[in-house]
Amino acid sequence: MTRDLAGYSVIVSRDDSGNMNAFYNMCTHRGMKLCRADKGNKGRFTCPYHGFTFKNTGELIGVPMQKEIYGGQLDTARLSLHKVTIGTYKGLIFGTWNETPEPLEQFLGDFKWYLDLAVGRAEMEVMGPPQRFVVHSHWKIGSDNFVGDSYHTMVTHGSIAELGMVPNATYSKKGYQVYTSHGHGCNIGYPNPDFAFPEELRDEYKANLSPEQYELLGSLKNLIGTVFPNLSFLVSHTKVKGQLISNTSIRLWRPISHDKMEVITWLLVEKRASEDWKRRSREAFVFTFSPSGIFEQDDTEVFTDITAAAAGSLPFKKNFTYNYTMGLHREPETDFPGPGTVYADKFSEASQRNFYRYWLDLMSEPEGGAGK
Amino acid sequence: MNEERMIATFMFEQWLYKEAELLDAIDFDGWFALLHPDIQYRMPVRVNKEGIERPDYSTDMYAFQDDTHTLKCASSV
Repeated sequence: MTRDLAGYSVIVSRDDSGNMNAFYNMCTHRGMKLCRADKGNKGRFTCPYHGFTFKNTGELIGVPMQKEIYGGQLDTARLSLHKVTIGTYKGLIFGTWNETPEPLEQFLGDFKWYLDLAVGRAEMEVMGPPQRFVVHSHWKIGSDNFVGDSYHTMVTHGSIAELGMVPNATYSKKGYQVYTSHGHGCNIGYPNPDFAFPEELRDEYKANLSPEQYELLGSLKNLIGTVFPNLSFLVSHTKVKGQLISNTSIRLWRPISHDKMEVITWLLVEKRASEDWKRRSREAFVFTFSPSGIFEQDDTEVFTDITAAAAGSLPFKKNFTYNYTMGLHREPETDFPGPGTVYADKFSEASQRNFYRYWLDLMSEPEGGAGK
Repeated sequence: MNEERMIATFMFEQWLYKEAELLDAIDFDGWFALLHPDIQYRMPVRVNKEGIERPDYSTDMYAFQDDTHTLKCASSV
């Protein structure tokens, strides 16, 4: 498949020996993009420009008329595709241009405890291809919204409570806010009188989660989080057509420029859930968080206008700033079973402060610093 | 174009103006009343495929997938 990594196209492929490789999607001869499909099955990639052919291990294995025109002197070993460092966690593939990054497990750290609830509670499968839509918004507004902003839900999404799809306008405050190192954070909607997941899979959840995680899952209303910098996840539990149903999705806020991003969202469903449950979960997802979704449309409208208002030099010249002081007066919880810094309800901006603090740390690192 | 077809085209055009008028007036109930109760309104997610491989859209994911119930719900938000 092809994916974007910090503005550059990357090919992620599995070779004959089952190893996963990732390469810059660029021919090493003259820089042409090698693969333009979203996904597929290929053992080799042939450049559409001059026909240089690369194996899915990155090795250059074919150059048209090589002996004749290069006199047998072309050093093909030096023309392998440029490798990208990748790591996987519970089926998610992470990539970085840093050749010596800190280990992925360490980067995710304590946040795995929360990420597991979304992607590791059972064997999950991706339903269909991802939704992809371009929003005229700066990408960090999305990360910021998912890392800790439940405060907006009672206003931005107020009409959805009026429809009876979610309990009431203040439901969004109940639960916890958590942040960990490396800028990660989430909001946990809790408690929920109903079990949000397929009842028949309780044993599978129990087997995959710690007893503390399982207990939290049992009364989880929703879960909204961001893995720094631009991967977010969401478990949402709403009433659609009179029936409660949850949907779990992960999303990338893919920066295109400072004022434009592509949102890419994948729907995850429990592999062993019934076909009917999967269908209803998809219906809820499309109705709420697809590009036509009633939550998504509310949010993208806001993201777009914030970005437009921040454009140009005026806000800098006038030194206009935002306010992120909510919850500064509060002390973290001490008896929550999960790791990280935890607050007893979701209306706090501690997670956003943690996100931007880490961002600032990285941006302030001297050039040639350790990097991440 | 024969006469019958011209009349039909005119009627459809007029119908679209009427629909637009309802939407301009934010009369979503009036607009909703135009819909057939069995309507299925879907847009599959597009997929970039190489060459002539088709279909170049998904058969199991949608940008919207509406029926009367979800359209009613969305038009009341």
